[in-house]
Amino acid sequence: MKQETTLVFDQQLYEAQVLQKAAYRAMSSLTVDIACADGKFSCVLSSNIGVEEPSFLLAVQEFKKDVIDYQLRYQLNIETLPIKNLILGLAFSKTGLISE
Amino acid sequence: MLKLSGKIIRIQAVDISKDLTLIKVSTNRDLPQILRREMAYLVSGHPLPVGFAHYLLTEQHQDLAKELPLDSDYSILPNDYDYIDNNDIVRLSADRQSIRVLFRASSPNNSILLTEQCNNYCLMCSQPPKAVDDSWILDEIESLIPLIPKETRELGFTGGEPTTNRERFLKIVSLTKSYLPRTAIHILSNGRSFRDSRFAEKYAEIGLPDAMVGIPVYSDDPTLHDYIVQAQGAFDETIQGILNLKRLGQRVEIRVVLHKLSIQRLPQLCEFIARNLLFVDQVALMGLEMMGFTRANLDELWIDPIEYKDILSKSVQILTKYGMNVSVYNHQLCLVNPDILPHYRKSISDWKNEFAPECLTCRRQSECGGFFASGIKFGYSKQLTPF
Amino acid sequence: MSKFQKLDFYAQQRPYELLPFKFDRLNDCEYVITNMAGEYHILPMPVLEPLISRTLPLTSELIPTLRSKQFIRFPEEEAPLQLLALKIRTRLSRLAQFTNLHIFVVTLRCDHSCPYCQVSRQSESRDEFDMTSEMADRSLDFVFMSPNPAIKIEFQGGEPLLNFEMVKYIVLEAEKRNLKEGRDLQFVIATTLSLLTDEMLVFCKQHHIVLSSSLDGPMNLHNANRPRPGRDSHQRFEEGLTKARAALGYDQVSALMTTTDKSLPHVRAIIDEYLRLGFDGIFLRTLSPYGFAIKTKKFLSYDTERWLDFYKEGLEYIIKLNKSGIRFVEQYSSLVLAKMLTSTDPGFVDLMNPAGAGIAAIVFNYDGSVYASDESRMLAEMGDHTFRLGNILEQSYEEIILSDQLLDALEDSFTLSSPMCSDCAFEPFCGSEPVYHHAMHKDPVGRKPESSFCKRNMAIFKHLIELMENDEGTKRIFMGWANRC
Repeated sequence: MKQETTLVFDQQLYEAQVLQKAAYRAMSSLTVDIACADGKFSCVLSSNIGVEEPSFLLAVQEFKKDVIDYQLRYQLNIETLPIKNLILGLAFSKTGLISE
Repeated sequence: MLKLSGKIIRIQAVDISKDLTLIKVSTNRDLPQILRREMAYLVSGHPLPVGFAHYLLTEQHQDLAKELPLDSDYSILPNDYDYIDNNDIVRLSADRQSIRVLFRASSPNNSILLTEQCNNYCLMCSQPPKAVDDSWILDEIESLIPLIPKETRELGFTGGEPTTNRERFLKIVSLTKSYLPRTAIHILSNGRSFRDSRFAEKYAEIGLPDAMVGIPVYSDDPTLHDYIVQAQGAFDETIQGILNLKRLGQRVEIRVVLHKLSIQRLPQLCEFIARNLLFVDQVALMGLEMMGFTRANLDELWIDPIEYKDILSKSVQILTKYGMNVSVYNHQLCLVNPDILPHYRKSISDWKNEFAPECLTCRRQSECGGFFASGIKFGYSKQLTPF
Repeated sequence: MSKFQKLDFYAQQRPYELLPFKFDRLNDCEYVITNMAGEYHILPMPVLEPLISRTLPLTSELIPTLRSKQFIRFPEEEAPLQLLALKIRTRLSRLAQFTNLHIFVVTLRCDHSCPYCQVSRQSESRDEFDMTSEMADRSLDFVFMSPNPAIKIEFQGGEPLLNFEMVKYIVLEAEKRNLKEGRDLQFVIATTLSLLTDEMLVFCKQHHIVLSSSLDGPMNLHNANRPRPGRDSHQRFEEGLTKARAALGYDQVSALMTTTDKSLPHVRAIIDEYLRLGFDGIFLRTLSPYGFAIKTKKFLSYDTERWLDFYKEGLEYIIKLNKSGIRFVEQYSSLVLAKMLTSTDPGFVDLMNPAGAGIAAIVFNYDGSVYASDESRMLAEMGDHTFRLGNILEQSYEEIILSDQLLDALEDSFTLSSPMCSDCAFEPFCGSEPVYHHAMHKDPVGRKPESSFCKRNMAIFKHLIELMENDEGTKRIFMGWANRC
């Protein structure tokens, strides 16, 4: 039997890609339809065929945790992008310890 | 412990204005005449050979002074200097009536101090820094190196921080390469100067055929390291110095003095070394010397080695699992776990080495590194167990 | 009087800066975080958000370790950047050396008829399924086009010993060319040992050829997996092993297992068999999906769970052996551990990013086809030629190596730009597997949430990390394994 639940996220607090990534990660158990209106994202989570209620509920829980995690990743990536490029630049520069 | 410097009993110099500088000692009464003019003869009995630039007599032989050739320069030394031997190099000062033994040919650990200045100020420094201009020492070393016997196996450069005067340091290293091409050179440095790539390159360019720079790293936590060496930013500079030296193919040893502060994070430090500095040539874990600043900071530093023997084993194991060369120095054999033995070195410089009364009955004294004389005097483990 | 400053004087007052890192949930209460060099650390769950929003107090006891492991730094510190750059560079340096493993399929003929094998043929006709010397010569041209200073040539089949003449030809020809090339040349023959003769052993000894054989487990299991006339695969293996070791040297013969459904309940017995026959390690291989491609996803996921139980039980047993003083390594774990605990890339084709296909290994088939990997060849035998890169007689090295099939697959499957992989904390330990994902999902990237490759690997990474966190002794054993690779 198909399970469904709707979650609402404030656009001020979450990026769209964060929800999309969490949705992607959950795809073996459920699919997510994302829509935005009035400054909010609404996500309709539907269980995949053959997924029963206990598994669905677990997957919904995981989805919520993943949203938080991906939002943190987003924040972390933005903040560390400049230093990451600097480090990669150093890694690929001509001078180095390992001589080819 | 050997006395390396101090007052002479009497110095007789025909030319008072000539303040004798460095001179090499000979005990060879058949030395060719031409060579005698540059050397000092150590008198030990008859006959007394003529033609030496200077004669050295220990107190016990002072009566022989009257039998010296006329107009000879000579010095009477306290019996403490009985150990002086062939090819040793001494500095005699008529002015200050003093002698300093700068080089002992029979010793495996000759160490040359380049300066007492240092930009670190380690809590356990055995040679506390002095902010005086001692560049005269560098002048002396430049005269000393050509005199050092060519077959000398090992020679150390220390301080203070030997690279404090960078140009003079490079000059001395260069001289060493010229005069002692077959000698293994060990330079003790905090590594910070080598952060400057150009300086590191100049050092590498000299191309000492057999040299190792020994650089202390006391913790993986930069704050703790900086605190131990009492210098802000030292860790960051030291690591970069190590990287530069290895980049240029120079041999580097990482040294860790073990005490209450460095023991805290010793396993983490060893993991840090294994993950980040795998390419260093060796790692030396060393016992604490009770000299210099150590006594002033004893509360913070002293820990009985028996209390950290398991941490030591664990740390050594991390390094060996990663295939690194590890040595453990300056510990007594009864205070380390058996798994340390493949890495244990009997290592205290022979002029500092002694044993405690508890050790009298010990069967393994000959395998043991013993103690620093300073340790015997100022404190050592309460848990010594003779084998 | 000398003046010493207190510890506080050297403590950082300014806020820390974040260095790039990735994270994933390890379990209900902990995160695993990995830095740019792939070094991991475990964080209690409540700490992650304060760490990232930079509100973690500077007095926290986590700060020194986060700093020394390069997850954070303080302003103007340069050493952390230099160290990270160096480690990244070290890990990637193997890539520039390019292809090392060159597989020559000298014949498809075989004396075994293993049910899971896709490639072997029972035909008597030599011409049909043997490599010709013209193809061998051309293949060798390709081999020496690789810039790698170390070249490994591995003979596979069918049973390569059935075309030993070709093996000899290739070895002698390669050595002749190597006089000028000066590479570190290594030869391996993948064989069941059942047809080994003394003459073959003499040749192998002369040319330092190493033998890689198959041992699936104790006799019953092994013979059930590997039927041959006489039902004596295991006996012949054991005889061949003894002879080969005596002739070539004890450690010049290695064994690999094939894991089938039948193997799954018997991991300890399989390990015991390896111990009995004097091997110092085992490679707990995954179930091969090739040949079983027509399976529902459900069945596959059931397979993954069963295999993980098999692996965990085997590993537990092996750790116990190590603790009792027996030197015995689990080789798959060692490869993963090398990536977790060192900056070396062990170069294991199946777990590389960019994918090892073509750039770490390449296959020259008996019929002149060139494949990106062994799996690519197996896929072709099942009718899917997606990863056939070309024909040795018709195309040049550049055309084959630079073919779109290869480059697109490598590029598309690159983990750092793949969905879910790019953010994954375990990405430094993992690899991309375009051939597998294509076979399963008709797409070189695959959908990682549905991929049993992903599920299996993630389970392994988490398991190894948890073992190390819970037991120091195990961590030390693992450090030893990681550094042997």
